[in-house]
Amino acid sequence: MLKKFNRVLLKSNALRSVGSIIYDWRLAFEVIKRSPLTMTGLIIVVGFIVLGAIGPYIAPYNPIEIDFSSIALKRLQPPSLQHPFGTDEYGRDLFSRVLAGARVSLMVSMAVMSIAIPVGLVLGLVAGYYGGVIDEIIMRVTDVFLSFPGLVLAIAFSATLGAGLFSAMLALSIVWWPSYVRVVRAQVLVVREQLFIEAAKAMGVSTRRILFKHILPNSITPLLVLVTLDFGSVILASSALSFIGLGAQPPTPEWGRLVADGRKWFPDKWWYSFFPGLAILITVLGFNILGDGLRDILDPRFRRRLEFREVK
Amino acid sequence: MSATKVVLKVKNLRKWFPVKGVFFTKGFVKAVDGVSFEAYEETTLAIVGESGCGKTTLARLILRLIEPDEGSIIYNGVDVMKLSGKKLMEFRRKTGIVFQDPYSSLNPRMTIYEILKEPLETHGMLKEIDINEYLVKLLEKVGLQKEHLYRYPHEFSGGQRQRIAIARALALSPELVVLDEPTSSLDVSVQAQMLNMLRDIQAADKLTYIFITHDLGIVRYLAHYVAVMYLGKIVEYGPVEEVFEKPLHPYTKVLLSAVPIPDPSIARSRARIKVIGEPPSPLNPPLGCRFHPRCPYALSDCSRREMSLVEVEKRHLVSCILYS
Amino acid sequence: MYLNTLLEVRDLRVYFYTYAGVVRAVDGVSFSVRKGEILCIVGETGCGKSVMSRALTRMVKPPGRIVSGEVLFDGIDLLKLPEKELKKIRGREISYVYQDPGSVLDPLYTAGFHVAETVLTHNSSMKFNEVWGKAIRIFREVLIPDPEAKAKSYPHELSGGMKQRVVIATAIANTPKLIIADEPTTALDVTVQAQVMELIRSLKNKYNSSVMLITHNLGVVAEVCDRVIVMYAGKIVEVALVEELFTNPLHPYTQGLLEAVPNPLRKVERLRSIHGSVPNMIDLPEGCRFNPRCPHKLQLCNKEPELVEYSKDHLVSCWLYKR
Repeated sequence: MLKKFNRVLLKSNALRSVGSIIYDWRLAFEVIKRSPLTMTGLIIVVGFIVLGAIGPYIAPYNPIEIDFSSIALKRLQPPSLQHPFGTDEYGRDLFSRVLAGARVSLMVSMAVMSIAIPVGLVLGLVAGYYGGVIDEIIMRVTDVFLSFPGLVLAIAFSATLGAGLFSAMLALSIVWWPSYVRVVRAQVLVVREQLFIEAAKAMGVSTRRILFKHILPNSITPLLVLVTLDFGSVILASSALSFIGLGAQPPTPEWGRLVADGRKWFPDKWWYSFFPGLAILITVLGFNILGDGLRDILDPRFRRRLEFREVK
Repeated sequence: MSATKVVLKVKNLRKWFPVKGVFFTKGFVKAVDGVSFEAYEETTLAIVGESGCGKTTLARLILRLIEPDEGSIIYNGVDVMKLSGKKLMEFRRKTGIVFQDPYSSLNPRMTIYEILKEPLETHGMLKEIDINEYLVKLLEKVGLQKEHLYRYPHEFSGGQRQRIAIARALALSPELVVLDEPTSSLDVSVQAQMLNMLRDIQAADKLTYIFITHDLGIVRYLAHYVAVMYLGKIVEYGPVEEVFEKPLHPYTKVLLSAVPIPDPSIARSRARIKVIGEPPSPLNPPLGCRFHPRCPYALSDCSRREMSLVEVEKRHLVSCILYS
Repeated sequence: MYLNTLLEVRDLRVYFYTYAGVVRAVDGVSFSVRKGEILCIVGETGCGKSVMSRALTRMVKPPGRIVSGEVLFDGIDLLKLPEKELKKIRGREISYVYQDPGSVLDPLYTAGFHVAETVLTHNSSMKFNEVWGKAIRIFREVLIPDPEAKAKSYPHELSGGMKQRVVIATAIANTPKLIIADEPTTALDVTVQAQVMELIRSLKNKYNSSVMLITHNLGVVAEVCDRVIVMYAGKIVEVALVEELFTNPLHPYTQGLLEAVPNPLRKVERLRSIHGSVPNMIDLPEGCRFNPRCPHKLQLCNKEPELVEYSKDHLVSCWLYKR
């Protein structure tokens, strides 16, 4: 399959074209298969998403409810076969809570993305395509947001909006879109100069159609890479907010919150903070590795090397 | 060739691009600076010149893809500069353009079907025609087949892509097609196929071509009239045979004597007119006649007097002090 | 082997090993360069002419690999020479001029520095002042006006034609025996192109060097070459003296090529074109690589023809001329 695919690719001189989305992603998959590191990233990410979706159903214990009858017996148990990650001070199974936490993290990051991506996309498109005063206004506002460290700004917003998971999501969304505007705008500036845009204009194609049919599909790939990389960062940021008490409130099993709660018992009852922390670490790492891999794939210079790498 | 109807009349067209300094505009790139010419029905007008002479800008100006600073474009008696809305769409329907680079002129995310359907859709012609039948016919006209319809541009070679670009330009059965160096990125053998095809299509569809190129061989082969450009100005205009056999402007003479001829017996025996230096930057070009610093026949007055095109023989115009 | 042979290439093969398959970019090429001649290598995109020229001094980058062949330069096989020895030949005995002068010159250094550096690399005992003086002398030779000032200017301050002159200056700095010029005028305007070609020809006469000129432009071939090699899909299809090639082309590909170029000085009724396009280099047709596009195709063409002598100095690789 690969051979045939690459043959088409060489025949068609695809190196010189921007390449279609299908092409990008098919090629991406071929590369991922070849790079063990990126593959690991992909497995982690897929695993995280699956756990986020089905986690609460496969959890061996109820992650939230406290069984008051056996608190004294069960509280702060070290990892065992029954409780692989140990238990917390209320006797709840930490493994179940970490599993449930995957869903919370997935929800937060998806919510943030579902706001940040459309906003970034539309503003980036408009700024890049129209230029001039509109561009100036959009980019200066974006710059104001970007001039603060994202997390600090998120803390500020979150504190203003009041503690809670919802306000954390909102705060993160507010700080997340500006970088997407930049990425989309930069790509639009490149695509805008392509001749097929001019050809469309010469045919009398409407501006709206040019924007959404020609520019948007050709500008979206770098954004997708960035989003993949950022998923991990959002999870980390929301954990950080929860850690300092601004994000998820008890009894929501948020990873950052779990780490914070476990601090009281550290280092004697190390498992309380350790396993949620490990979950954060692995997930963020997974997204980062995958994103890095994707970025390399979509970088034309790398792609060239890939297509012409020597066969041993 | 006997056609005399003027399809396109361009008068005193001017486009300067400002070059911005830190605070003020540093100067202007005088890409097109007072250009006038006529194109006749069912003929090919070649606009020839070296890089940076403004020929590509001129191509875009003619179709109003960029707005000129000054001048008028009369298409079939209508002032294109005054068109808007429906009338402008009508103008767009009657004109087409083919670009030099077949790699960036096709949207890589669209299939050939979508690419060719777009102009028809834009002009609301889908109701009138059987789209599939129409597109297959269109593809056959440019030497491609039905099975190519559902492929993406990157599956085609440069020559095939250029055929697709030509098909797109022809989709609306235009009257005037601007061809901006359509063959300069292609190999010789493919170029010949393309030139022959363009000629056949012109004869069949009664098209008027404006052919932008730097290749004098193509001009001689394909064009009926030629306009020679140098630094934003037309220095000579006339019927191709006449201009090539009896060039008047020194720049045309220099160009014809410098162009490599694919025939050693001619190439090595002909007299060469030596010219020094290179075309200066179109940013602040020389005063007077723009060719005078390099001109082997320059007179002292050349740096002072800016000449305009003068008709020396019927439809043969030249802008040079030697013929005033 | 002629007495006046400078470089002889025997059965050179350069393959690119890609995931998609083996690209046989140069596949069994044999020819020689004579002393003091301008030899043109002409062919279309992807015919292997550039790769071949780089392979002569082992400058093929991976995934390309020189699979076999000999390159005899003054009796020494360059392909077997240790890298250290080869470095002494590159730039001194054999030098290159590339298509795009803009990317050859390092923007951080002056034009004169580039020439001086080349001189110094091969004459490490020279003092800087001497080298700089020599650089200026070379600048004068490549007809750069006001050489003292131009030597001190940076590449971005020079025009395209001037940059190409600087590149040529670096190429001739050590009076090489062979100059390999890869499309040296393609990026230049017609009027400048003529000046640069003229310069290459006069320098060749002055130093009695040989020039290998790689081009796709048959006009350039007709203007400056002595002998021509026509390449198609990694193979040589025809070798001839320039007048002979243009008056009596033998290979159907050469014939097609010559009739496909519009001549500015002559009105042609209709150009003949070669139908189809260049084959995919991974999936080459069997036998003669031109056979799917050839108007004279024979049964025999499914077998590979050899490059044989048709008449003195005229070689062709085609079954039509098999006696």
